Amino acid sequence: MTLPSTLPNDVPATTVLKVKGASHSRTSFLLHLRPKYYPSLSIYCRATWLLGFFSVFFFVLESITGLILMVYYVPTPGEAYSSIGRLITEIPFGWLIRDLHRLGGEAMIVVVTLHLLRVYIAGAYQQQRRMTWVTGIGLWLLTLALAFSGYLLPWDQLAYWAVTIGTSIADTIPFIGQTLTTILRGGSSFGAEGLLRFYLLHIIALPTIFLLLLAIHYYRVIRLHGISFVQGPGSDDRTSCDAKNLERQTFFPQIPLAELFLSLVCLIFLTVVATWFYNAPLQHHADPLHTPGQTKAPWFFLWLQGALKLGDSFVIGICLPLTGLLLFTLFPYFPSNTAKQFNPFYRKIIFVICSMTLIGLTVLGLPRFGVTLNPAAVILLSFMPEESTSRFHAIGFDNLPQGIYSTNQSYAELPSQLQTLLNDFSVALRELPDTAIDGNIQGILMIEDWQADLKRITLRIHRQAGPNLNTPTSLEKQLYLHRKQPRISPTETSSHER
Amino acid sequence: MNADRLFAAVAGAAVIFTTLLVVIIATEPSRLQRARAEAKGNGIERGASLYHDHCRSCHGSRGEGVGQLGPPLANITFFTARLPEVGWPSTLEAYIFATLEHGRLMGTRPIYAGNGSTAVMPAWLDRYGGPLRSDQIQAIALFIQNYEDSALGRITLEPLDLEEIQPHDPKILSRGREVFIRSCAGCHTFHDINTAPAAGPDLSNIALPASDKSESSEPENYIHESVLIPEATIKKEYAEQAKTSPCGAILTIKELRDVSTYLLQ
Repeated sequence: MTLPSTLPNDVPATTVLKVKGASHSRTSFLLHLRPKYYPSLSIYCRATWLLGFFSVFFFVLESITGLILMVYYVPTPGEAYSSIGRLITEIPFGWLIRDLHRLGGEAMIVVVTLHLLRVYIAGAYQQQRRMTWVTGIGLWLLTLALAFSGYLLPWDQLAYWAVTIGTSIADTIPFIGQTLTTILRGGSSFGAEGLLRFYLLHIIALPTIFLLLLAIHYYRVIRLHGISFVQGPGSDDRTSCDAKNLERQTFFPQIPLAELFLSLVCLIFLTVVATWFYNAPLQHHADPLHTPGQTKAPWFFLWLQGALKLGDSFVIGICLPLTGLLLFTLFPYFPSNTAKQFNPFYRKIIFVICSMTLIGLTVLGLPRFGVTLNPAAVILLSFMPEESTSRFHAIGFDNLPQGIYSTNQSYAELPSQLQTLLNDFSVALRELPDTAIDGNIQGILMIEDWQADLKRITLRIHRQAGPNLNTPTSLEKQLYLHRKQPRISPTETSSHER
Repeated sequence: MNADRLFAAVAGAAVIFTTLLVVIIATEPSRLQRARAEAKGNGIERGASLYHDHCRSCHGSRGEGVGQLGPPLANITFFTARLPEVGWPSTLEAYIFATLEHGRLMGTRPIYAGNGSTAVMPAWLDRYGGPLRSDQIQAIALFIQNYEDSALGRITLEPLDLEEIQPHDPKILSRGREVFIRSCAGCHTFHDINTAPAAGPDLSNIALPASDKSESSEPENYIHESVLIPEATIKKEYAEQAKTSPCGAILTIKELRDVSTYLLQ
């Protein structure tokens, strides 16, 4: 077999790196899965970055943590959110399992994507590897689909609206769009049927297809054509296919020990992050009647949200991505009578252009480039966001003394954090449009002791009549803050214009 | 890497992972306790917001009650005498939860018997036709229970003397005027609206009695009570008229708030 070259003037290696069992017999299923010998290079980190191994590791981690979560999760709109809450507050280590599942899912997307890119950069999609390439893209798509279907399950505002917007793209397909959306959602909007469908997709349909594709993919890599390596003249000797690295490595004990070690390191890393640095998000309960001010697609689909801002949903959201995906999947099958198709230089140019486009679209998909809101409302939202921790929560219950405070005065006796907040509020108000002209704007902060361990905080922007305003206006937002501040979910705020 | 070194690396990683698990296991009881307290705090915060949106019209902004419209929830009677009064065999939490979920068709105290044509308190759970989910009911129940410390005098909450710097929004006043013309002007006069002799009282100066009446409440609550239960503070000469043309149950809560703001401007 010929290994692909990645740099100009590479001399393709002609060594077969596929692994073999002790014999060619197909009698042992285990030997089929894990052959007795591997090429030494396949376990060397910098050769493949072990991305295939890590992809499978995260799939196994997701399966195990997912099975445990299934014991406690109830896939109905009335119970889904509560069951996640119980997992955090009632079930010992429930938070850890949930955080690991969430972290593992997001890490799996990153690792599988990097795996795909490495294979693309290595040019390992030709000849025998074409079908492996196609199954790899299938696995990548399934990974995204698994993440997307799991996104809805907590049934919070973040999940509900992200998935609602995501599925609404299908609505733009002529003739079948509405039917397709209805099938996905189980109705005109997400409800019990839609949640159950996504749940079944997430736990049965997609993992089953994933396993089947993984089996084909793994078989082809292990038994048919072996692992591909980036190589080239002048590159690190250890990554090139020299004779030393093509030596055979027995499976036992090195391979299992190396995999066990890597698994443990990964688990330690994930557990440390989950314990001290990460809380899987859980916003307020899904509310079909209240669209959050700033809805956001899952981070891995932000590029699509950004693209949709540029034009027609069907063309931008369906046609272009599908065309790009088809080209990306099938281009190894195109006639290759010219060298350009697989030329590493062109490959890299295409990679850079696609990456820059995706990054640009992802930035465009951020809420800051979303619907333009009333500037005063944006200021209030920045201090009292609907679905994330407010500045007041960050300051803390004890640093918020009862009183009425104006941005037009200074309060030396206040805690420094509150003074900073008032100062920031004042600065934000000065940047409002027309403020410089009429100058009659005032920010009011009211902190009231409302109940035992509970304060009510009102933030108000008051504009008096002036050259640009016939009648005075006032916009305010309130939140309640308890002494025991939640780490998981922010307070529900109410906003009303007066 | 040879097998011995790999084995040593695995053993080292296993020791670190085990230590990590031991730390997590040792701290789990306190973490669970903290998570429960935080979830309760979060529930009280959400309950306060929901109470503000759905309950304050009848029970007052601070649970002080609104005349005959809704009983106080932040007083000692509610926390010490309510359960024996109604013969409730379970906890106060369950009582609040059940009342919120199901509402109350019949009053348990004569002054809250309503006007005879509407339920004393509507059901709030979506399953029974109300607007709230079960978790929202639970949050409001947590918020109401949190009145206990101030109701029983364990703590004193100093009221904040709020300065009225907030003008009435012209949009709300405009909506309130429309509601008044459509639903109230048939019986009432208000400044330039319906200056002809009317069957009901002139409401041009209603802001004064509203302020006098509501020392412990908000002026708008006086309007709410008068609309929903006209006989609560009715003048004798209008008693008969109120029976034949009741105001209750003809406005949405939003219309009620708009018209209250308009009348109190």
